[in-house]
Amino acid sequence: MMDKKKLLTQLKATRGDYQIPCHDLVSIDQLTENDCEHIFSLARIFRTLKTEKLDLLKGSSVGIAFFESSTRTKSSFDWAGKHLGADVVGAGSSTAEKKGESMFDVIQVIDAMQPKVVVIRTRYSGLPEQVSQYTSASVINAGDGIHEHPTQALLDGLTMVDELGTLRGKIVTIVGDISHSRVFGSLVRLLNKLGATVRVAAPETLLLEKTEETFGVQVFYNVEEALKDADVIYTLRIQGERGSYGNISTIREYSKAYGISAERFALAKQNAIIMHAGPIQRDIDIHHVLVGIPESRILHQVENGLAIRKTLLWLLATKNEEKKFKRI
Amino acid sequence: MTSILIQNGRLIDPKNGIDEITDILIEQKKVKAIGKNLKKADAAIDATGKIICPGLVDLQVHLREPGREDRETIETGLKAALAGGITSVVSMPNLNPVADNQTVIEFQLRKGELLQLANIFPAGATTVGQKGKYLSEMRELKLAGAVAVTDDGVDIQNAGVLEKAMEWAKTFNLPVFSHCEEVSLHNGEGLMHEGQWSTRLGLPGVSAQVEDYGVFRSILLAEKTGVQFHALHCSTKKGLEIIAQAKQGNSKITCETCPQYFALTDEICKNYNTDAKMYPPIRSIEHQQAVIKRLKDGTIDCISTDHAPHIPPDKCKPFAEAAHGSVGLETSLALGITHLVEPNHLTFSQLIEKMSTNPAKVIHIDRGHLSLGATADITIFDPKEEWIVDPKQFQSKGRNCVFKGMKLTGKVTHVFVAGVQKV
Repeated sequence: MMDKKKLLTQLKATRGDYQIPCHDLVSIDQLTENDCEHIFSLARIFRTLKTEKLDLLKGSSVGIAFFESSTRTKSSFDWAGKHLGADVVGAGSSTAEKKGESMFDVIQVIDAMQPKVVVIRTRYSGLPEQVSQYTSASVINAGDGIHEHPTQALLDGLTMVDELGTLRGKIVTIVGDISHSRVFGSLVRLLNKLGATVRVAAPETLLLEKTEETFGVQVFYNVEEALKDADVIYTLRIQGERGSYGNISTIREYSKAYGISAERFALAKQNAIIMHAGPIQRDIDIHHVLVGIPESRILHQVENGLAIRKTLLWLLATKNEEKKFKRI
Repeated sequence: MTSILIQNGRLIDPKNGIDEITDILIEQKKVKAIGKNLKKADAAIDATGKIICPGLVDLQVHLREPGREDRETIETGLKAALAGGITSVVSMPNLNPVADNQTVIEFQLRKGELLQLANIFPAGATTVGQKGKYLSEMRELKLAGAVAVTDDGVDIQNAGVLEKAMEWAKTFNLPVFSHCEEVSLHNGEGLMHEGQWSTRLGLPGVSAQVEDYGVFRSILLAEKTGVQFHALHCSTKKGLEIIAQAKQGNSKITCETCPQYFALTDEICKNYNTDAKMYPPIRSIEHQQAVIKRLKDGTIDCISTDHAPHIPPDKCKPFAEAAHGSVGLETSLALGITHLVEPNHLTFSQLIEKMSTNPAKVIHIDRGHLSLGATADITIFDPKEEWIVDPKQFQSKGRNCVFKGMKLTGKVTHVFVAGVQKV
């Protein structure tokens, strides 16, 4: 039987006087390794609290401004806010854009309703960072174009650290569509911070310009080589909606060259785990058999996502310092 | 008619090889005399410690009128030019309507005449509506007063049309200015220079090859057709190498760059700074160094501004949607001094040559020099005065300035157009 009161006390004791260093979370670059560890510690307690209704954010509003469709991230933030006692409202849709209202004006309108946190998803790289200057609310980037998706990286980091203890000296192999992946954008930054060795396996057409130099990763065209002795296999789907199909010959050939099969999985370390940011495309980026095996952490990631988002909503909404902002 | 004697300044006139402390007398709109102990004039200006040079000539200015008078008008644009020491501007044709026939050219010239500010020299469009399909009526453009044809910020993608356009322009003795670009290489989606910063920011890149390829195509066809060809806003290492080679023994090929390409690198885009969104994009240090090298070795003949005023909502947008360009008329001279003369890349004389003498030659106007009897378009500046760029102080309507907040050296103090003091 879970002792809610005890866990809440533990939560507050674990936080102590810790304050997250930023008012908005738009990039993993804003956090240090120490911040990540604090976030993980708190998230573990939130995870134990499961769906318990708490009053940590009672009386606060959280706006979910998603300008792109989403299943897991949107519902994850929605539930996270509600479990913390906040009033969560879907505060964004594509209608404002269709009516010709600028996103910068939309954010000011949302701001006037005084939310503590606004969670933004957009097809535009950089938009959360840009609009964050125009609202007193804390902005959380829930995915901006092909740039970053920091809460995804944090939930992935938590999943890996819980599994491996530390990521120092561990090998994480990321396979798939790097060029269009905001998940990669945040994950590679986080893994570098946590000391992991990052390998990337992708065809040249699905890499970014200067991937190696920019992020200090090892790039492999050959997925088997990249998987050898890996501790984590992290697969990314082909982002057809962002034009990736123009970067490969056929899905058939891509899948043959880069899909994770049982044989390929066997090349990794004995206790290696499989992760996927979702949505999974069975038998394209990962063989259907592997999705449900014990080494798969795909659903743990989702569970950790809820805990990570609760942590960040709480830390940002209760930061002990007023955020400065301007009007357009 | 009044006469003015400008005394004790350092007079630099690259065309006549003058760089000395002397006096200059303006009378009847013309340069009357240069030397010491000149006769008394109606008015005198003490230019001690200052540099006197032929008025600057800018080959690439977006005046926005007709069409987008909320961004800039001919009046505000020409006032901005004067504030920057620029006495002649080439007006680019991406107006609404596009300057692809004589009406817009005549309108702009008439406005310029009425305003009596800086001189305006309109450029016409190379193709109808800048669409790259059908040739514009270049004979009529020329007769109306156009000094060049250009499709401005869009390059003609069909090489066959480009070749015919060059031949047609040659027939009517008009130079072709080209923004060199192979659009298919970035699918029209690139937002900034392709490199480490674009990767970090998650913004689709425009590779240097996009420009190199466009330069190569244009040069091949310019060589074949023998047209007078001028490459606009050059920003890449290889593109400039191609131009350097083509210029050997071919005086009909010229090129320019803009201050943003020698003063800045792509890091300026960080934090999604939309004022730094530019076309071509501000490039990496490797290309910036190459631009400086080509300014030094003479491959780059001219420095223009690509002055591109916008209203704040044009820039207060996601980086992908924000307008391209920065205002530049009021900062170009100081940027040249700060980033080229002070680090000893160019002498003052070389800078003035690239900002006045050479651009005047490209469009065949009798400006850019202070020969006796020349029209007295004269700029005087203090080469040592330091100032901080504050777009709120600009004459231009545009506040979108990528150089905002930067400390620059060199301030314009007096400007004369045809012997009349404007600043």
